[in-house]
Amino acid sequence: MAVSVPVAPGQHMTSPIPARAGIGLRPQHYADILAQPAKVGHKVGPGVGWLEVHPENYLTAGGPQHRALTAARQLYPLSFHGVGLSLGGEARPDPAHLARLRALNARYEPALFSEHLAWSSHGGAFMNDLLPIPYTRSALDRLVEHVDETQEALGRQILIENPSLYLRFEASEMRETEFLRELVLRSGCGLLLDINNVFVSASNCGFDSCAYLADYPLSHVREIHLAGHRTEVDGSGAEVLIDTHGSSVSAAVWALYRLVVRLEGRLPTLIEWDQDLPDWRILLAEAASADRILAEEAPHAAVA
Amino acid sequence: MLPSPEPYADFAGALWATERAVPMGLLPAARFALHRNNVYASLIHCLKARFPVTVRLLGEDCFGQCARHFVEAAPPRSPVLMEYGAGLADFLAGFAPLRELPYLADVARLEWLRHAALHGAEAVPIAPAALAEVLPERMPDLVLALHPTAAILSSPYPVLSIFRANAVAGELMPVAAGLPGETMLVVRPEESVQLLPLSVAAAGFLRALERGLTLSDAAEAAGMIDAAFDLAQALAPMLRAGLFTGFHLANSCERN
Repeated sequence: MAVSVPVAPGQHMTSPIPARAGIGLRPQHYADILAQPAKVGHKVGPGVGWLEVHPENYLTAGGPQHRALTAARQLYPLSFHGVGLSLGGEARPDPAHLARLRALNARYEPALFSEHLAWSSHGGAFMNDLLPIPYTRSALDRLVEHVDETQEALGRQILIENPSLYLRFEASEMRETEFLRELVLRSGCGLLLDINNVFVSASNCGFDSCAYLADYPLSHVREIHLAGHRTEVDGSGAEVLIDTHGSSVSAAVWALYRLVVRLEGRLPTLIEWDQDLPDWRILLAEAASADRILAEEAPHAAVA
Repeated sequence: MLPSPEPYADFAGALWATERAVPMGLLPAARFALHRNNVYASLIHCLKARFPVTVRLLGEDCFGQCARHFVEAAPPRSPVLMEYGAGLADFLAGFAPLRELPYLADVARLEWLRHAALHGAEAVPIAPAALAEVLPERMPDLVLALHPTAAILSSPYPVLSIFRANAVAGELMPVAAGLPGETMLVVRPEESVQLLPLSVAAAGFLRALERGLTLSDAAEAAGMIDAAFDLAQALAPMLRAGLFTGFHLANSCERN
């Protein structure tokens, strides 16, 4: 397996992602985001430092979302967060999908491109859910190949995000943190640390969030995700946390975020809110909370 | 019993087929239902957002049940969900429980065409006055380019009337009984999708233009469908809707 990072992160884009809070761009907020004060150089006024979108929502010939993203791209640095490559799956990433993503990258030049430690397609059908994988040697070998192939096809490093787990596989041979560390070493990919996912998985699978973070290869993190979750009861009557992206970030997740920033310094931090979208001002307030923690815990670091 | 070393086929199979047993080797097994629900709920949610008027006509629950059958029969073949739902109208047309609502499939067909036009290729339409610059004696030889998002739907049911009466959330609006079938144009020249009712002759005229026929040849074809076809009267609303993106003279290199 070639250890290759085809293109260093940062080489592609016109403006890098600053180490401050960003927001997922949703059609409901196009008007609000485009009415924000324009950035001057790479500095953006109070509010939001960068934007993230799911590239799969933009794989169309045209339409209003392309018009909005083209306009937003002039004002903010942009990150792509893929949800369709099924890198953890049995099959190789679909070459046709990779080619479309490559063309979209060329059009919008996102500064970061991330995907998931999960699978979502099998036998040619797409399941629209991020499904868990067993942490086995064979699953790791295959994932390394898929990440490698994706990085070759896209001509850039990608980031891999830790999943939110509701269950685990008896067959697993490694901890998730070990699995990710080997993946990074062997594929040259970077990491997207979703702190809400750590908290949700820890609660659902019975491990300790702080112990997870202590064992996690933090120095390879290029981006952080924060989101809300909800508590439900599963079929056996046990409590289960659901990663909904539909509410504000919980106090416990903010506390873990503070710990990560203290350990690793400033990092681009996305407020992910995909369901039951709130008013734009509520998203701005969440972003301001992240920026405040970055300033308090890493006061001497420069904002990119 | 040891779980299968490659759990994907078992896992995926049991996700789609709700009657199948939960795969071995998952802890706790009860949580598998969360993924099963996610798969169906997220895809049904996607279809509901794409076919809002069909949802209104059927009711949320009934549409949800039909969509579930559709998802089971025809899951997405691509992670680009913008492309999912193209086959829903045909599915509804052949779905026995909906036999009493024969117009429903064409309403879904219209909603799909609107979705496809909204996200279709961009092209700048010509101004309605642009044709005024063409010398009258050369008009017959004009070849008009249609917007790439343009599509025509012909239905034996008053589908445009049904769609328009129920396009806004609220109480269901019945349309008058005995209305004839309707033919309509769907095009998205700028920000929003335009819907234009067409006579059968006007639809024939557009199909002829689409094949590259000149204005006079297309008008002649329309006149054969309906002797009362009036070219100027038919063209005006099409120009206003932004249907044309350019024109040139047949057997000429001049283009606009």
